[in-house]
Amino acid sequence: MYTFKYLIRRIVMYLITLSLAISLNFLIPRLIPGSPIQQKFAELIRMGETMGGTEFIEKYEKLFNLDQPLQVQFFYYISGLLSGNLGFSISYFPSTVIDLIMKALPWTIGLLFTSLMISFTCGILLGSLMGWLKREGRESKWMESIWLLSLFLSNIPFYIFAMILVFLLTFIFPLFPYGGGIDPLLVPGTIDYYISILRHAFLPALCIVIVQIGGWSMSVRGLLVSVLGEDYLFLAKAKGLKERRIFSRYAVRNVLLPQVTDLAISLGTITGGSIIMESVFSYPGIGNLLFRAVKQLDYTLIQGITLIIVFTVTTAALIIDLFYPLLDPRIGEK
Amino acid sequence: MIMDNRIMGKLKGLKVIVENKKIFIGLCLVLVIYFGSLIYTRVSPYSPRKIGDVPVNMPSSPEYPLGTDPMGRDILTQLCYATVSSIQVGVAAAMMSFTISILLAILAGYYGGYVDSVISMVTEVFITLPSLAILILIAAVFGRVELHMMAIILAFFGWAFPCKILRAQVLSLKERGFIKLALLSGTHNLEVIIREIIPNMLPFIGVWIAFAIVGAMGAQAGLELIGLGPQTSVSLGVMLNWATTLAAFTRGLINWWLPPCLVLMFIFLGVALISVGLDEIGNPKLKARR
Repeated sequence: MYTFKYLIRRIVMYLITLSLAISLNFLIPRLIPGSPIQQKFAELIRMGETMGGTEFIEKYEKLFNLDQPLQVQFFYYISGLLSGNLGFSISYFPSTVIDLIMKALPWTIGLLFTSLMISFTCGILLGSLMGWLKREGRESKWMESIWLLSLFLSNIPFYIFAMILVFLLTFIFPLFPYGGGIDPLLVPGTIDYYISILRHAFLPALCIVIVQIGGWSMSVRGLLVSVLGEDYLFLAKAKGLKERRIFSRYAVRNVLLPQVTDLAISLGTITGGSIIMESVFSYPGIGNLLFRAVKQLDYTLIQGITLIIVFTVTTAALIIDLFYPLLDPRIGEK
Repeated sequence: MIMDNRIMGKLKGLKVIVENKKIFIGLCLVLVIYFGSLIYTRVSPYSPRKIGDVPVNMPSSPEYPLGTDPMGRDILTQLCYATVSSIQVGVAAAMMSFTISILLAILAGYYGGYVDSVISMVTEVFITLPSLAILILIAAVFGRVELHMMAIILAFFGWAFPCKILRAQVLSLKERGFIKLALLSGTHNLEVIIREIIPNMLPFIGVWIAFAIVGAMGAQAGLELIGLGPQTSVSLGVMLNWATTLAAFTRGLINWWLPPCLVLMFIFLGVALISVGLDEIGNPKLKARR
């Protein structure tokens, strides 16, 4: 158990972290030389547009407060945040940042949450089974090869896997569509519409699940094997407890703790999407939105997305830190 | 007498490392890939980047073992240059980031108090910052991020997560009886860290160094894959980016996009095997069971 002081200290630290991250979030995009508006016009000129006077640029910079000194911009930013207004996107001008994020978020959450949950459950089961069977060398050849496979899978980046899967399942055997989140011509609400969503999500989800199962099961197995050497398990065995009980009550419980921590962190990072995966599959989620925003130096959009990521990740970390001492009494304030 | 024992212990440790089959295979895999590529870059008559160096789209032949790409470059030469630079960047970034994380983790976990609060907060902020987004931002803004810059950036954003894990490990070790006993018997803090804490964290350290290398290489290739890599050198991600932008899939140029994928996979497998092997060696509980 922890004390009231610990609770307060942790919450104060959470607030400090959050405000630090928000300030960095504001500052980093602005440390970069060049204005996003000029960037945008330079891009148009490269594409063959001609340009009149510079007062046009100035007008747009005024619209986004980019002509103001940094501290004034910061003031606008914070007051906007407090009133829940993230401003307009620079590169998709008439749309607001909130709108763009809200449009992308369901795709990302739907895809990543589902695949994270599937891979977590399967990974924990597989990993604890592998770890348990390793005890006293009962591991069969079959298990050994599954272990090698998940070791391999947990260590390759998923985009390599994605490339091979895309090649096999969209070019050699064209079973699944490549790229995008849905067929643009379908009417929302029909069965075809949902089938199309599922078909488009299948390949990216499969990549994430397969690679992540490897990761989860490897870490569970590793932890379980190291727990199996502990004295209290020897004692439990000496007491004559049933193997099944030793497994579920004594061994796995100790292993699950760090896994739950990792799961919470992963859940916190979900909102950020997976930038590389989403741009490889051109999936219409947050990661892809962020990637495009960065390429176009869209400050307001970058800040909006990173703000959401920062908020969910720090909150997840806070929740973990408040629960951890309850779960593991060895760590905690005295 | 004590010195003798220590030296014997070290020799024994080395012998164990060499005798461990997983480490041996993993090490061989990585070293063969690295030195093989390094040697081939020296003997190959072709250039990795020069457009029109050789005829375009040749299938594999004795002259061009992996064929040539649509821009007239020998693929095997490209692959070897790419492999060498990818491994170098990965190892350099991992070494830098890991040094930072282990130092901070021990400082924070062992000394506690204000040091811990400050370090934990910085770590938390760095974990929280979407590092990949910032990497993309930096790469997008500066246009060309050269290889050494890439390593520094990867290290700068890569240290935080291992630091958090290692700190938790130090914290939990500190609560164990033998550390308390060592402290009670008046052993100096530094000695406790070097002789009790670090040896007990060896499995974690080994595993996390391996993870750091793999993570840095993965992040690097990922950035390059989406087109944010170095402009003047070639690496595995850059090759993948060229292959995908020039539609190697639809043109059936499997000899172009598959080799970099395979090389990355084998390097990752090798590093993973090394980390597992180190885990077995470093964890005496595992060793006792063998």
